[in-house]
Amino acid sequence: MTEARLRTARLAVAGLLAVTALASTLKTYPESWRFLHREHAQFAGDTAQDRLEEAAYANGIPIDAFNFFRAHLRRGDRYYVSAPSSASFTPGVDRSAALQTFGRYYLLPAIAVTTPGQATVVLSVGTDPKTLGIPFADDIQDGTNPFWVARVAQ
Amino acid sequence: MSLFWLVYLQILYAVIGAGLLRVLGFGGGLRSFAGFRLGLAYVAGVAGVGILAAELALVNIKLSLFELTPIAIVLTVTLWLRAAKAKRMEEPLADDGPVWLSWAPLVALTALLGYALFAVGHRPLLEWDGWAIWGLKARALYDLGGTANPVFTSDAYPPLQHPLLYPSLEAIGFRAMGAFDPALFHVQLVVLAAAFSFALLDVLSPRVPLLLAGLVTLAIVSASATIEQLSSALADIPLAIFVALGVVALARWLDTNETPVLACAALFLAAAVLTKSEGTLFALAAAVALLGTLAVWDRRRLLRAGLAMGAVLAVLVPWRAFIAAHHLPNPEYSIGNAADPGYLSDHADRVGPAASGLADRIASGRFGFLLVLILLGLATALLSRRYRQVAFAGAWLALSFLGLVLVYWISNVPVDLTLVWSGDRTVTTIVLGGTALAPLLAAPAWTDLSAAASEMRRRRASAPRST
Repeated sequence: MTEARLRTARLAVAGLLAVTALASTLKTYPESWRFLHREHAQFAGDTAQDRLEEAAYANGIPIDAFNFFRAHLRRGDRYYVSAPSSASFTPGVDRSAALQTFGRYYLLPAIAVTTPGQATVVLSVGTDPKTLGIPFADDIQDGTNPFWVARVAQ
Repeated sequence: MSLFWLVYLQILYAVIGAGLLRVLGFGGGLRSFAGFRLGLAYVAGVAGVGILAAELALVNIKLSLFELTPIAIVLTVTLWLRAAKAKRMEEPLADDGPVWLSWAPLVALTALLGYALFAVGHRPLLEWDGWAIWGLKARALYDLGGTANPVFTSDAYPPLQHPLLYPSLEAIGFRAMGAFDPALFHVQLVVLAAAFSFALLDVLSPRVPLLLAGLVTLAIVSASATIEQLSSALADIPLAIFVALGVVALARWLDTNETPVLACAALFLAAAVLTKSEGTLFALAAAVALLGTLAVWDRRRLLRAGLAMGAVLAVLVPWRAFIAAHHLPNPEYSIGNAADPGYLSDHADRVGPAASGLADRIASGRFGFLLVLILLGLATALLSRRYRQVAFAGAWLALSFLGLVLVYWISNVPVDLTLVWSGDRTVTTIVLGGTALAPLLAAPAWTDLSAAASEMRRRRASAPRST
């Protein structure tokens, strides 16, 4: 390729780069603007508490249970989440794992543990904690809902 | 009131960043921060404070406005107002095109990010990793004060392998506000993205005319993938921002040999390695690409480059020591398997799906035409015989992509599932970093093109009019 042709090609490609940047923006800018508009419309009225709870709604997690748990946990508590495994809304994550994961986020500063034996409190969804065979000092159910908070006898 | 302190925190980031830039050798007087340099100062401040906060969190020390205010004052008084001698720096290119044309992309950019700030200011954490990883860690740092608790060391809190810069920064924000509010993640990311835009324009300014730099920056920020991730609270966008600024600064240093720019690149890459595990991969790719390029073309600069890249990896040492001390597992892969031929051979069937899955995501319409911009940038540099720049950019892109493929290769999660979980996000750094390099690769050709266009305009203006 001669020097003149090389220069022409170089300038053409540089010009094409600027045109492509403009074309890319023209394609995505309206989409992004509409996306932001939807985001605003969906969440503009949310309170700080709504924002904490939305993660549960988005993943099919019973927020009522976790609000019940939170009301009964104290700073320094070590809790164990007891829930039967089953399919969940999130690909690759079963329901028990989803509940435990949400608990880790939502129930801070209380601390999660991996076995009932390490816990000061057992939080149960769907199964009565008495089936774990651990002595409890007290055992509270949320009305007729299948959620229990059971404080382990020390 | 909490908003007031949050705004004050953002000012502190910019002031601390201005001081840091001064430490790194940037000059130009206070007036220079009236322009794009303010964006660079802000990102430098976020990077510097983020690194400090992440390292201090490991020894259970928290940063808040109370500590950051005196740091900002000390940096301002002793380093900035003192008329220290600055290192040689290149001036921004003079812009000879119409002013309205050059500034039009920046107006569009500012409008989009301004609307983004308004639109995501009430958004919750919806994405799984957003609340399950980053929200959890930031909240734990805010509620519990540091890492001396089971959230960062117990197998009841998987995954534990993620470094702590991003949650440490958010925890500083919560301390400033006096409460944990998920909306802060999105607000902080949008402000960081705005600062990134202006920082990129500042780093490009001595080599790239404002119009081209503005068009490419607008294309990056307005891409659906960028905007959607800005509102997702995931760490991939801050990672992409740090890496993109780091590699662009390295590419500029290859051209200009300005030591402060090399130091600035090291700061951003150091922040990247503490933002996500992939940050180390992208920083290593940059280091290998840079040192390899210099080994072929300019061995005299190898030592300086080696020291800068060594500093980047040194920042990672406390975090790696923390991982080793607490025996923190990585449930998704063992890095040792990357060097085990038997393991790699047994899992070779993952390579094809991983490579094609990642390539599909890079070429996705969610990034607009950013992949085309990367290719055009490389082609222009080749046609301009800018072989050093092509070697550096091409090697960084190739090594980063191959490194990602390797991570998906050795992962023990089914490849389809891990691509669904993270494939859209992990390629973001490659796409944004490569696109940010494109204007620098094409700069001389674009300058020639601008000169040819100006000459044509002059001739047309001076030609006698026919009646």
